[in-house]
Amino acid sequence: MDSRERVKAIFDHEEPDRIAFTDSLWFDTIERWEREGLPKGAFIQEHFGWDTYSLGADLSPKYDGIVYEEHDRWRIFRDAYGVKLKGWRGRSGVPDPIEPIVTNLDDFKARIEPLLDPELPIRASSSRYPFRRDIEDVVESFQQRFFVPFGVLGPFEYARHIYGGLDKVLPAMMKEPSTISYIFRKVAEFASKVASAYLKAGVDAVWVYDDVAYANGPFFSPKSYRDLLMQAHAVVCEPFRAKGLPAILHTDGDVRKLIPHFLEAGFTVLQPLEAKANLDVRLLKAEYGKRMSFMGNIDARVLSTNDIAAVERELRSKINLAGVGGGYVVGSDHSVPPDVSLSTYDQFVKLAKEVGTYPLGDMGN
Amino acid sequence: MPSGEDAVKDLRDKLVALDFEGAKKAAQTALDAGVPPQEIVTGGIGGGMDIVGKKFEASEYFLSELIVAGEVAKEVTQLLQPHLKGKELKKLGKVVIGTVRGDLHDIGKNIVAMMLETAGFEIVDLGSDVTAEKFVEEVRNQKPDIVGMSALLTVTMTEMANVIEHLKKSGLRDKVKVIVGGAPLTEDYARKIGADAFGKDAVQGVEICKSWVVK
Repeated sequence: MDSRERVKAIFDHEEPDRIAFTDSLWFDTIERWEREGLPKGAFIQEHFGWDTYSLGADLSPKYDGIVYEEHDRWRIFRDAYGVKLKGWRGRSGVPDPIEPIVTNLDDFKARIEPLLDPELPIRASSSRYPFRRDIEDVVESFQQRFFVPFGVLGPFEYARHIYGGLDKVLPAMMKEPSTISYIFRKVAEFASKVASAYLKAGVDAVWVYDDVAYANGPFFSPKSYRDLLMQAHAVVCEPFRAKGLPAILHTDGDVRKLIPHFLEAGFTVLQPLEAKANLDVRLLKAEYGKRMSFMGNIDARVLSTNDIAAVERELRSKINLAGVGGGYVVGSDHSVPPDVSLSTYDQFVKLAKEVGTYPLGDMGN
Repeated sequence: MPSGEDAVKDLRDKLVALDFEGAKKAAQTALDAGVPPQEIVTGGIGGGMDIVGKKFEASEYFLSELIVAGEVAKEVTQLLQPHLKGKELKKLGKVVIGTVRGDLHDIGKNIVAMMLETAGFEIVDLGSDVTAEKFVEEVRNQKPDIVGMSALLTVTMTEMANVIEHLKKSGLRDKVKVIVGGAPLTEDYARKIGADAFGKDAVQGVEICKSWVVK
């Protein structure tokens, strides 16, 4: 059984040969591991034997980048979305927005919407796009080794970025719901068109990256989700669901209050299930396991102890419950932090595959 | 015409309803009825934000409502500002607050600062990427009651311990309460680095700070 067949079986709620594995790493973590013996520039997914490889496309309006100021530790620049940011030099970290490109509907219509045209020849969705055959070849090539989803930035994250941050977009959702709803819809329609081009090229799933929560709960109410965002999510999921393919939602934070609504939007898989935000895949499986699959949830704080016995306990306790009947892909509950050693991670992946070999064992200790 | 007392209650209710125009109108009505501006601030804005905080704790309100309530409070305070001149509000206490060195994220810190300000604290906001030396300097100069530190990343939260060490070495640690918060933090971690408290969210952070200064 290859990775693609394995992940497909899991998302179809069947038990394959073993549980599938996938993950993500911080840039600083890779740097540490290269000092500890990871070959420089290694193909991470292949090196560690992950089962998925996610393709993606640039959905930005594709503005030219401008660097305004360079300092020893940080710089100020404008990115492809037209947002002015302050970011670190020479180290990873999410840059902080300091000047948005959109503050109202007129800004969006003038500065973003015309550039979200799926028929622009630079877009994979365009009938004039010259590299469609290359995309098909790439998808086919990766599918020989991996399950291959297509990743898109979700409409909430998109709006959050062009508005210049959470503290701008959340009030806008309350004060100008029709504007925000319009932006969510336009971004979703565009993302859906581009994702559909990749769907035609044969990708296995759509993976929507849309953080809608933090450690204490959703950023906004379930009602706001339903009124403003759910339909936009449905637009991105629909072409994939129509073909019976999975729709994966990546969101950080404690999203328990939103899960029934995610299901209604069309999502079939939830990732990464942050343990520090009180998410527990065993409980989620018990409540939603018939309708939803899960990815992640191995507590990065446990990995950070570099205590292999603790890592094994964490793996056994979660895989042996959540893996029953398929529906669970194991991995960390967020990107692996740089305090995890390469040796720990190697053993974590090996153990995950051993513990996750069907038929599953007992709960361990 | 509603009485001054009714107008203050109306302001409180309009703030809870996140009604910008209604809140400003109620504040103006209270002023016109002769209610001292300090009472409008404490009864209308403070009372409203207390209710918003309780609704947040009860998951009736979410972060979006919390931020908008803060904006309503800020607009009403601006309206009252000319009437408050020469009648300084008695502040609950002074808080020096910042996001620690290595971290550029200040949304969480800004929300906490806004909530503290509407609760009646004087805020000295040091911004983001604040060095331990800067925290020490400001504690020495500003003589706050409380130091608040925020971090979004696991790799930067360790800087909080460094700030506390610097406060100790400067002989200032015993002169302030230290509260920490941010996504990767826990109660255990706060205790381990020698902070006085961990605020799991802005509302709890404000409650803790109030408990330290309200005798």
